[in-house]
Amino acid sequence: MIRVEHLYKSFDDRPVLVDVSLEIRDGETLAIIGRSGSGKSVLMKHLIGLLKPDRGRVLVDGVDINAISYEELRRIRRQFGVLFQSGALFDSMNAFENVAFPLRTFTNLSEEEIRRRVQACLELVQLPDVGPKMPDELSGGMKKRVALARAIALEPRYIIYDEPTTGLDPETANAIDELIRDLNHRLNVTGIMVTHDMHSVLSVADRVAFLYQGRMHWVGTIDELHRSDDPILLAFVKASEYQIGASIPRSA
Amino acid sequence: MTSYRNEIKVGVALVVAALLLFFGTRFLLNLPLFERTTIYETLLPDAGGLVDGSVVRLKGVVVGRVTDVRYDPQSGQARVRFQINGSVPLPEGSYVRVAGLAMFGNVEMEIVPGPAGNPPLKPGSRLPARADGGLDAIIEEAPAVLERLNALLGRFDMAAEAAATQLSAPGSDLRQTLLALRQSSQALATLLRREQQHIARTLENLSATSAQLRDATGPTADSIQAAAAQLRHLLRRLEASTASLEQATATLDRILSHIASGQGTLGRLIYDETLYLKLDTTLTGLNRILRDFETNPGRYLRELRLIDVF
Amino acid sequence: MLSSRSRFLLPFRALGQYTLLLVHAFSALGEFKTYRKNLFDQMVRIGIDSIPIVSMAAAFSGAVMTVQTAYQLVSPFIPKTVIGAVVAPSMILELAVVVTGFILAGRVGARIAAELGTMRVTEQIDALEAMGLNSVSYLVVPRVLAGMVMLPVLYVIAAFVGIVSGILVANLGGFLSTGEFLQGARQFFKPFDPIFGVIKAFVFGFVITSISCYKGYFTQGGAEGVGRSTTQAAVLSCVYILVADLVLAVLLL
Repeated sequence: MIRVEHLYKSFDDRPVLVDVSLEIRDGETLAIIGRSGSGKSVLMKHLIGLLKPDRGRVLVDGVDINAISYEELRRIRRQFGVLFQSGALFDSMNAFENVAFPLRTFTNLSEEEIRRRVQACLELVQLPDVGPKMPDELSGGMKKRVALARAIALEPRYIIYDEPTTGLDPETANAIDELIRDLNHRLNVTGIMVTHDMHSVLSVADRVAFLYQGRMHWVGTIDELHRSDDPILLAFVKASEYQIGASIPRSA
Repeated sequence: MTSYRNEIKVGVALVVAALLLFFGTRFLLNLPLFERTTIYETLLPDAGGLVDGSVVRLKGVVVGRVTDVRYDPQSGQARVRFQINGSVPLPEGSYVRVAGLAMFGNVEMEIVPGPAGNPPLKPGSRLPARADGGLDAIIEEAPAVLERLNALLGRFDMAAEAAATQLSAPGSDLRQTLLALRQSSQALATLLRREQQHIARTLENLSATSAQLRDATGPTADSIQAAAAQLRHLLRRLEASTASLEQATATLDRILSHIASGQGTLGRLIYDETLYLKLDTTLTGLNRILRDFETNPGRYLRELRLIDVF
Repeated sequence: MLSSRSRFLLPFRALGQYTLLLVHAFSALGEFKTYRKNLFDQMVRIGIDSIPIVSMAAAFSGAVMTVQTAYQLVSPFIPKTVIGAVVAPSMILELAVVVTGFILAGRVGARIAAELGTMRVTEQIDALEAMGLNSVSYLVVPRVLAGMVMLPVLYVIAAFVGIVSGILVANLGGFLSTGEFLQGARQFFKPFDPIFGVIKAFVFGFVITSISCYKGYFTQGGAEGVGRSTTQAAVLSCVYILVADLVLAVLLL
């Protein structure tokens, strides 16, 4: 379980997160939604300690990740798999090596076993044959899927998806959504999805947290979202729904 | 399998660079590329411009380099370490001196080797330093030489006296050799005595005027330098002569004591070949010095007179 | 917008950030397993791959120096050996190491900044961290170590090539013979000279790689930011090489 308590963060005197509190329960898939620049990605980076809050706490399984040593933080991070917006594949390695990298770094598995695990992960994301390809030979969707394979290689307890469908055509986006749903179901992980793609949210998430101007504006289940009459939330959902099926411009 | 191509490349590059650095430095230092070198050290009252890398010469040939010059607080002197090419042995009794002018940056260290027959010095041993400095050094050194000469002459007189009485017996070859030895030695003694007085007087003059001398500049300083060099040369010769006389005296002493203690007779001594040979070489040496004095009767005096001018 | 106070504090913030990065890197030295492979990769890319260009530059500087010294010293009163006595020590003490440093600042410094900058803006550094890896240990440590190890190697090669090329040109151009050159070179040679050169190369290696890593690691602002970091890395490396050169000369000579 991850708890965010009264988080404040500003960059160069410009507040980005103001008093954000959030609870992410084990086994659920939570979508953090909001407009570009609402602080979604900043909040996401706080969850794994990539950014340090000005005030407030982030508790992972009861441990304040900003009160522990770097070594302990790194141990906690290993329970997370992160799918970055652009995939963040290491461009000096081919797809196979990218997926094998966490296994080689953090396990003592034999080369043979690593090969089998990598192949299994690549099959899970339906790309069994891309192993020898370099990242720049892969399409955007394939990159994300390889990155997803890398994220799940160490069988994490939490997977964070940062804008998993942004920049993809609707068909690929749907495939990714399906994949995420499938993985969450199959691996029984806790998912945290940062997105502004409502289609994605509706098909994958159990609960939704809506960030608006740096504040946690609304939190609730999908059912509650459908019944909500909050004008700001509705405006956001409406605006997004128009765009379902169209490609959504990338956020900075 | 894991290939170590990168590791091998890096390793090769490191080794090549290390070898280049090592042999390049030795090459530019004029050290032999593959031979071992031996380290010695010395204490100098004044390093006088010697630096890390200064040339070390032996008989004018570069045989090594100074490796370290630092002040040694224990002795209050400059401690100089230097390395000598392994193939050049330094016999015991070798000493070093500093030569050259600091002003032109060509200060060198010169090794004056000890007698060739001496056993070689152990690596790391400390060589004594001798300053072939200016007049000061000579003025310091000369009285000791003169004193030794004085004592020796006294001892020689006694030995000669004794020999004269012992050798009244007529006959054998040995008698004649001994007689010749006595005569030669006596002649040398007379000469030395005369020189001694002369040098003593000169030194007195020198000491008296040394303060002014030190301040002297220009051509005067040059002639002082020249005079000092000659005086130094003379002292060395005197030392050599003294050594010969000392040997002669010692031999004479021994023979006389043999005869006096009744251990042997003159007749038996004739058959003691080693003693005879020793006596003979001594005599030859003595005669050479005497001849030198005789062929150049005025030389020593003339040199000294140059200094007398001051 | 930055307030004027923040603007004034900017250089201090940069220095602090740079120092903290180095402290972080230093404390990560023990994680040898993390950077072992990268270390040798970087040693090859920084060191071995630079040998041709560094040798070429050193060869030309040695040759030019010989020709120009010969040109300037046309006087019957100056012995020809002076050319050797000028070229060899200049090469050993200054030219070889500074030329090597400048070339590496351009070749390696810019590449390091571009690499790390790209990794930063494409979130690859975040990805490393998110995995629970020490990104500084993985990225910065091997590059800085490789620079500190390989620059002295390159310097030695450069000095050697430079002097040999000086000798060749002296012979071919008819200025002076190999013997005269070497006599001059030996005349004022001190064994500390090459050691000083190695020390300088070591420091330059650190300066170039650490500045470039710093610039790359903290790149901001997408592709444009990577370009900015790359340029700054090369320029700052050159500037600080000169600063370090002076500081070392004052400290050690």
